Amino acid sequence: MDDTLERPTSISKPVDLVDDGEDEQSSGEEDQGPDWTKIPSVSTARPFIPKRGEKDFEPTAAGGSGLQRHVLDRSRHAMLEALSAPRTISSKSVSYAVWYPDIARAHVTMSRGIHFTNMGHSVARTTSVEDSKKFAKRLELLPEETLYLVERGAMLCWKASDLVLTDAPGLDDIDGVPMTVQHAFAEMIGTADLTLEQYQVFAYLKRLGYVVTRTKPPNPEYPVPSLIEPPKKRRVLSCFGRVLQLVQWPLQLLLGLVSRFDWWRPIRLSCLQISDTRSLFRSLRFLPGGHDVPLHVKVSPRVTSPYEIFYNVYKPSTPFKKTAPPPPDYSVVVVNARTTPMPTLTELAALFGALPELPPPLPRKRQSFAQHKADATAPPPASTSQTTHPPSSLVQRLFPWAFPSRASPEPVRNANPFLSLKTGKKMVVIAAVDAGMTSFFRFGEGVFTEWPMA
Amino acid sequence: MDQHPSYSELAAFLPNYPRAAGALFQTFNDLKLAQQWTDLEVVDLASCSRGALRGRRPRTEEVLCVIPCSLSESLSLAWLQDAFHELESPSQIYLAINTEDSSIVYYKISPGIVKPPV
Amino acid sequence: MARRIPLRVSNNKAYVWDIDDIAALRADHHICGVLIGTLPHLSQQNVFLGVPLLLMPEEVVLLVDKHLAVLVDDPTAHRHPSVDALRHWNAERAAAAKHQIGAAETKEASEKAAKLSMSEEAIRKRREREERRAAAARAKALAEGEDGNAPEASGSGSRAAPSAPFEQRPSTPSAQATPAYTITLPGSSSDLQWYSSEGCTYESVADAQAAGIWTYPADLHERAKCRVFRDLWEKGNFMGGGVKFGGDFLVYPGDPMRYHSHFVATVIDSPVSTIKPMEIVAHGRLGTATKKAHLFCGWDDEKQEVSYFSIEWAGFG
Repeated sequence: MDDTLERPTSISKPVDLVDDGEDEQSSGEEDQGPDWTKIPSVSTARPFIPKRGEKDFEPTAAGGSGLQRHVLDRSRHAMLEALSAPRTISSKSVSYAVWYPDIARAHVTMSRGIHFTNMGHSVARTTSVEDSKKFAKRLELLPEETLYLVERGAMLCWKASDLVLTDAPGLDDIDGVPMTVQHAFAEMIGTADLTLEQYQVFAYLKRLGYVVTRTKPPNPEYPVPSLIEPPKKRRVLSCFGRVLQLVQWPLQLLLGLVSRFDWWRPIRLSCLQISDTRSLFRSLRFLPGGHDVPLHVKVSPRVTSPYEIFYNVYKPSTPFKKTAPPPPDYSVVVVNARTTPMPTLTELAALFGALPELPPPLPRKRQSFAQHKADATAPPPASTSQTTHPPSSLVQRLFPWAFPSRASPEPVRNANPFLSLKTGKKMVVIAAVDAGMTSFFRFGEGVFTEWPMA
Repeated sequence: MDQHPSYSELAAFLPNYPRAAGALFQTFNDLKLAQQWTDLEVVDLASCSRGALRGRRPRTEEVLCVIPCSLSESLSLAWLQDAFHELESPSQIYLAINTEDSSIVYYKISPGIVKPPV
Repeated sequence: MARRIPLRVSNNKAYVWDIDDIAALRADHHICGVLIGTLPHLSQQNVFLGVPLLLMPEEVVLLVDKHLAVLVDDPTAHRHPSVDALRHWNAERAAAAKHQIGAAETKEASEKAAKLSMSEEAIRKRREREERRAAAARAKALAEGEDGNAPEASGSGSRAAPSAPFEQRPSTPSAQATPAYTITLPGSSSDLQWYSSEGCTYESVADAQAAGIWTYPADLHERAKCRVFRDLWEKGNFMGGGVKFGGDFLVYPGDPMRYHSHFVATVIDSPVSTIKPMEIVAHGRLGTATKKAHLFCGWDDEKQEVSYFSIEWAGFG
């Protein structure tokens, strides 16, 4: 065990949650706000992210010493200066859209810039133009997409209005009521199932360059990833089925034991030969384990669980085609940390039930400097191959001892199971938002049953 | 338990509060034998239905109060308030949290808003 | 009596959109909130964020209870503009565009004229002359204490602007002939003619709750959080959210911009609420690892008072 970690004074190493996100979250000093005096000025062509500044323990006198007050005033001034910067954009690069509150979508009337390569989807709508109904495809944005483009100053959004503007002189070039960012926040949050928490997570990821789409299509035209490998369908059991299954598996187990088991020599089964410790342990495992075994938790599930996958997230490097999105790199759940308790086992199981299995993790690329040095001097490891098991059937997993263990030719000792166990076969990211502060947590479904116990 | 060399010093309190006896016994022995406390004495803490401990850390003068408890107990702020009151309002108490494997962790609890050391 | 700061409420959240209000909240009332918007000129990072400022519900309740702020029903305050108001807005927009295009065309025209009238040699000489003049102007400006970058365009303008044919249809794709100009997209709604908080402003939390735009505090736990927040604030502390440290609040001795928090605070609804020793271990240990003490803040609803216990690792055992 790591003895130093057992002392409360030692600081455990922070773990990145979204692995290639910014380092900003991993700091142990998260009570610091950014140092606004180090914000790059507006004129700086290429923005850089400065380090946080040094802070004092406490004000030395009432209101702080002269120096402390001066430094604080400078910080506050820098912050307000940065906040006052206007949203400016060239008339040649600005996009335009019209927000329709009744359908909670914005129709893009002029799309410019790279944003639309991964935002918006096309929908056929009937529009009545001069008394004739027209059925035409148009580019529409979800509320979060609209709000994001408006608040980062890339798009001007009109709110569809009953006023007949085209006839009024001096108003022929506007498509509705111009919306401020404030107006957009007030109008768009709360529509199309979008909470502020969900919008904050959307904007956070978009700012870092991720592509973010909804997991559950908000309308039939919304493109979703085609399921190349459909997740194993969890059998939805009726009440009767549940009871049947409850009775079934111990029965099967019992039958299996009775027919094959010699109670006096428990590890000497007629059908398999014990050749090494690994198969010995395997043969001792006579209770079913693993995630295919249904949960036996008697809880009344919440009517609607807040733990539902809301966003599909793609790394900036993943090739993304808007009309045919690939399977997502991350599945993100967004919860309000103030009102949502920790997920229950049932809720986690339901989340993982909807997710596909991931390939085994690659060995870590990022290493500490010390590790780098050690690796440079040490000879390369003889074998990096992981021990992977061919997929086994449910029956095989339930009754591993009933099947002769497959002799594995590769040396078992070399495989380091910890990374795989930590990562798990399935992964979901839960973003907990508390009044503006977002924390990302990664939940992996560990597969302890599939790794050798010795 | 009654065969243990420490038993005689605790004999007056262990039977009074059988539910808290284990934690008191473990904590007493830990402070006396492992932490090398001196002038260790047991005092009655009726409001919390247990015996508490007073003593000095090695090479220090200050007398400290320790309240043993088990990890599985349920405490409350009123419980803490009562403990401070009965121990005649020390500037802090040490809560000795005992686990089933007999390891103990100590946490310092002070009434009011007490700043951490710089 | 100082001006009450309008808090814009929509979807049961309170935002502040005007920079002056954000400044006043922080400097005068020690209320920080959290900036959650994208900074338009630094839109690819999450370290520095911009307006709006989102307030914690406890901050909102405190500000309104102390008569420092009022709640405005923001969706309602955005009215339907009259045709006249829209026309006014659009005329201002057109004027701003026209002004910029005019300035740009003047510059372009003067450059074109200069090009035609001079040989390459003359251009070279002229450029040298201009550079010298610009450098001298900069030096002069610096000497006078002005910003060195300001008088950049001094060499070009100052001739009568030819009135350019101006086609003003930016919302249609056909108008590509228009020269580029800078558009400023509006952030806050305060300056809009059709924004008015009249009739949808609430001076107490109870009024806002009755109007159905605000719910906090709705139960004992939320009430306890509000009162603990208020008590710590009244003691002169700055307060922040504690979610990153497993608590309800962080307690700062001064503006969080310059000082670390000393405490992670958790609110305990009543003197008899259960505290498990494991919570003491978890909070105490995390606090010690981050140079903070943990603060148990107990609310007594009968006595209407807050009591505190500070927790640290003992340093032995």
